[in-house]
Amino acid sequence: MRAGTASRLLANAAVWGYAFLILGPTLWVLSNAFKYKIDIITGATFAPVTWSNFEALLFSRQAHFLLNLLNSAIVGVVSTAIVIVCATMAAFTLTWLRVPSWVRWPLLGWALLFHMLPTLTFVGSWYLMYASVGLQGTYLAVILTHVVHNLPVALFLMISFVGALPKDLFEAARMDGCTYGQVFWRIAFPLVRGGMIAATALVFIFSWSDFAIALTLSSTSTMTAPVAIATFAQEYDIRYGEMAAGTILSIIPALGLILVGQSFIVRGLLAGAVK
Amino acid sequence: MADVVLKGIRKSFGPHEVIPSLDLEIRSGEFLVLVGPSGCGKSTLLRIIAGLEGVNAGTISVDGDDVTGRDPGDRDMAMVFQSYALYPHMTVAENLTFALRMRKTDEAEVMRRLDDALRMLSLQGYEDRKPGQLSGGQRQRVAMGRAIVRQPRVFLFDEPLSNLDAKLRASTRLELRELHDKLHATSVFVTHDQIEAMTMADRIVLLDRGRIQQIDPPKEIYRNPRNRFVASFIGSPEMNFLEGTLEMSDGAASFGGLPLPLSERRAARIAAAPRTAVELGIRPEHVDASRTSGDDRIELRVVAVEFTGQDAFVTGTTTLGRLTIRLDLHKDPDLSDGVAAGDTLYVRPTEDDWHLFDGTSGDCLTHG
Repeated sequence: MRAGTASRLLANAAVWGYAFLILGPTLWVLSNAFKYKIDIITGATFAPVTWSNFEALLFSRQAHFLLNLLNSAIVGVVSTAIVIVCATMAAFTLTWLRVPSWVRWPLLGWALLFHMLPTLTFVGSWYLMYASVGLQGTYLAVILTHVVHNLPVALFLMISFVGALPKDLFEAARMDGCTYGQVFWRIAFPLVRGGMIAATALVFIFSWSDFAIALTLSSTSTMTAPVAIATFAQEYDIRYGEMAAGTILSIIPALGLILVGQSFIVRGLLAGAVK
Repeated sequence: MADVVLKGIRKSFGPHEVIPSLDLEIRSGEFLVLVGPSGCGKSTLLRIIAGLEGVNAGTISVDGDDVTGRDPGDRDMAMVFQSYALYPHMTVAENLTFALRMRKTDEAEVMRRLDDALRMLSLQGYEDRKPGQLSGGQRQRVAMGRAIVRQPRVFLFDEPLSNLDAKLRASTRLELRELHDKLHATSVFVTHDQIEAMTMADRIVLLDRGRIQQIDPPKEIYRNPRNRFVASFIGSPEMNFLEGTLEMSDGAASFGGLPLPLSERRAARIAAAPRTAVELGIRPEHVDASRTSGDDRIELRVVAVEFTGQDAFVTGTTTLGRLTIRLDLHKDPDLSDGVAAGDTLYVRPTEDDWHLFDGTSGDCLTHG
């Protein structure tokens, strides 16, 4: 009995220790958002709390962080919507057509390969491409690039979710008089909703936190939040307080989505269409 | 109620030819069972009739109407799947009426048919439940209800009883057959279980590797198999096959020393049969056993006895090979009470209940 409690305490201590190791530095950096500049520079752990960083970020005359958050939202929502719609329908078609595995695996491998390569490798060429058609700095450029960048991962996820549905549901629907479109809309779509929500959360977070693409392809007016935060590191002065404050503000939506999305990920995997 | 005619059906999956060339006529109102071992093409054939698989060649017509290229939803056929394929996100009522709503059937008609089906299948009170909240047997009935509600020309069943436990299977077999009779339906039923085939069918279609081996009513298939495959597939326990030489003289026949009791008609039929490379087939239930020897009997040395309650299946060795016989424990208690391994019995076939099979082709020489 004592041995059991001791090992449990040890396990708990290990888990909490590891969590602290990971979260600690992040929390410490984020605490800079509530400190005066002098306290940040001197590296004081405990300091008087202030909201001045947030005020400067959001309400000062040169402030445009709210606009940046809005840009992030626009880019995020539109690109995620496009990605999810395309990925779900493509997954359905790939599953329905019973594409042979020698087509499926290379396709998915190819898609994932580009997801794994560093984005910075491509941003230069993308800039030139958009510049040549006069689209650099527009919302469209950033959105399209986000779509291209995130579609593979979404496709991979949706293929596994749609593929988990029993094929004879589709066949029964065909026998009941459904066209392929109706099979998708009335049978497949309602059953992968959980999976779609999980994929949406993931894709939105990728888009929201993207730095390289937004840095290269956006202009001052279409700048997204991560890029804006980076601009606080200026030539003569690094505005740590505002960077930390901006980071906190941009983490909140992502955190919210993760919390919502992860319950769907679990639910989607378990419930789905398993008999 | 409709007849279905399949002509020249050929089906391959890539290089693998599943059905070489098949013709089949399903009569209006009949309960036809497609049966055969795994991989014989029965499910593929059913799916071809349904329209879920295409064909490489051949035509399918329903009541003279060629449906070969048509979508599965346009053939006026309903299918009950092995896994039931109930829509998990819809209630029982929605599952049952889905097809009707897809066809924009009049609401009053939809409700009427729904009520009928619920009553017929004893599912009243379950309309608002989802499939996940039903038992296996209830789900099976909803699957059948989905087909019934459509009032199709043809019902297709793809091993719908396989997922039920043995007891439920037996009672559902009866219910299914009763429903077919009540609805005056044309039904095509696929199973790998020969008991289901024998008990439910008006006619049985026995398939092997995409070819029809025999189409006949159950009694006929049982008594008069066309070839060795049919004889061994139908009947449980399996027919015994013994090797030996056939001898015939003066209208009497014997096989490897065992006299074969036969009528004149049969004597005439096997007069021209080859004498060697033939097999003798006897069903376990067509063997007469006794403790006393006789001229017309051969010796059976008992190796194992299986007791099932009303029968005992005795397996043993003879000069012609291994033999399993059935002893009816009611008819002859003296005999069966004391049979154990090591005993000796004397057995002979009952008249005309044996078959001869050509050793090479497997054809039944006593068929007809």
